[in-house]
Amino acid sequence: MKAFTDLYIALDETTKTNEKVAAMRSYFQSASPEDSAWAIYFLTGRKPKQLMQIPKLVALAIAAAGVPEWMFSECYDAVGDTAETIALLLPSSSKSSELSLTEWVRDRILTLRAPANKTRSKVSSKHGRNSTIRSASSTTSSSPEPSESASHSN
Amino acid sequence: MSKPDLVKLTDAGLYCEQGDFYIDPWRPVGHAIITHAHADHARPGNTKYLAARSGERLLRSRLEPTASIQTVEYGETLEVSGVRVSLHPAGHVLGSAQVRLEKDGQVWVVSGDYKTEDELTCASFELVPCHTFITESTFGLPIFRWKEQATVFDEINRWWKANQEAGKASLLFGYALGKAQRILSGIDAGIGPIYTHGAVEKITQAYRESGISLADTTYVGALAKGTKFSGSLIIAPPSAQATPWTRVFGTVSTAFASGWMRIRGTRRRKSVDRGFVLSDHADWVELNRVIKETGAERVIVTHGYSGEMVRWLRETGINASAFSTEFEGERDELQPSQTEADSESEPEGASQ
Repeated sequence: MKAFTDLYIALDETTKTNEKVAAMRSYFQSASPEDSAWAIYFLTGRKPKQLMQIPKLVALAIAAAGVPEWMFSECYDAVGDTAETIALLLPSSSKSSELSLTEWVRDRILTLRAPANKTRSKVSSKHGRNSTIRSASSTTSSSPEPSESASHSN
Repeated sequence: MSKPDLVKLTDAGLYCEQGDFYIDPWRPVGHAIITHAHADHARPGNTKYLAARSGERLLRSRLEPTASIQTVEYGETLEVSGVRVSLHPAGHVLGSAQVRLEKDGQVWVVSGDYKTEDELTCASFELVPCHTFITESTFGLPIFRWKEQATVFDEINRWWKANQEAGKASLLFGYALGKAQRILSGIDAGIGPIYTHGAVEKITQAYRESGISLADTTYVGALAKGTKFSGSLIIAPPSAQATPWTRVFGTVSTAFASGWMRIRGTRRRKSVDRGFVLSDHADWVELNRVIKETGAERVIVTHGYSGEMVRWLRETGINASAFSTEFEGERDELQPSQTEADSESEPEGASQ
């Protein structure tokens, strides 16, 4: 995940196409096939659907940041993007992780929607069997909390 | 609390009726106390000025040549018609001051602009206990939290070095007054030559003449035609961006140093490669800490995210309200403004 983060930062830090191409070439030369596939998936603007309802994500961020809901709205007005607003409000982290991009997606992110998959038949397992496996493995959890199921899978 | 207010909001600015003087007035008045030399706080046309001694040289370079300026040391007390007046370091830019007023046991403090992190270009912020604190709130939202400046200077150094290795010049935009000098005091001048825009050079000179030691700089306009800028750092005000002035530098990487760079969209709209989050204003954490530690029972917010700050303070049980002033704080340069701010008010300093 760190390599992908570095790639993202490198892409974001230049307005020049040649430099963006160079950063991608360097990343794909050393990334594993799985990570490369996920990197392309995210860089082409796709994202896993139905992982978590936005209001729930916002509520969790508000609780973690210790600000009232109206203040979140004011911050959102200044920032203009929900994910970035959350990132800017969260306390800075003292921990860091060595998991790969694939491990993050497969084991940490896709598992967030496992409980919902059980009850919501309309949500197809579009992102391969990994998420299906996860939703099966987390059926032992009776809690609807995504964070609960995520911790089961760790 | 039945004692009369020591500072009122009038059409001309913040006014102390008991002492018959204004603080950072935006219309010409008789007596003006100036908290610092930025254009939205130090406006010309007043009969008499009072300011902190360490900023005198800088202030003189910003006001009319004939300006009558009285200066005091930080902490020195003057008696003005029964009001005890003293100035205390605000840590914002060279010579910046908070104004402390005392009468009949009531203490009011007007913060001007401030930050609490110690640095080399101005005296460190002093916490002044008071009953009523009139504060800025330029970055009064919890998304605005700064890293330690040493980390930011490292980022700037690494960016400069990487550009140098790639044969590029590094063009860094920052306010001509305060930000540019703070950058010069913090970066690694051993990396390469440092060039300046005329507006930056002029104020940098005023800092040096005031005894502030800064990295050596060369004014771009003083260079011979054909000078190669590859590997150098060029410091310019934001208003110089996308002007013909920048064309002589060859291949450049551009960056902007400002608290507003905390927001990605702001950086993207500025069309710079890099944003360095470096501000001369207090962040959310500092604002809250200072407001709390002054012990003030009443807080008046002058500019920035004032509505938000007032609501936040009220919810934590503090008697807070807002003054609608004409101060601007650190503008992000995106919204046009009626008052020229520092980066855009140097026609005489612009090199070409």
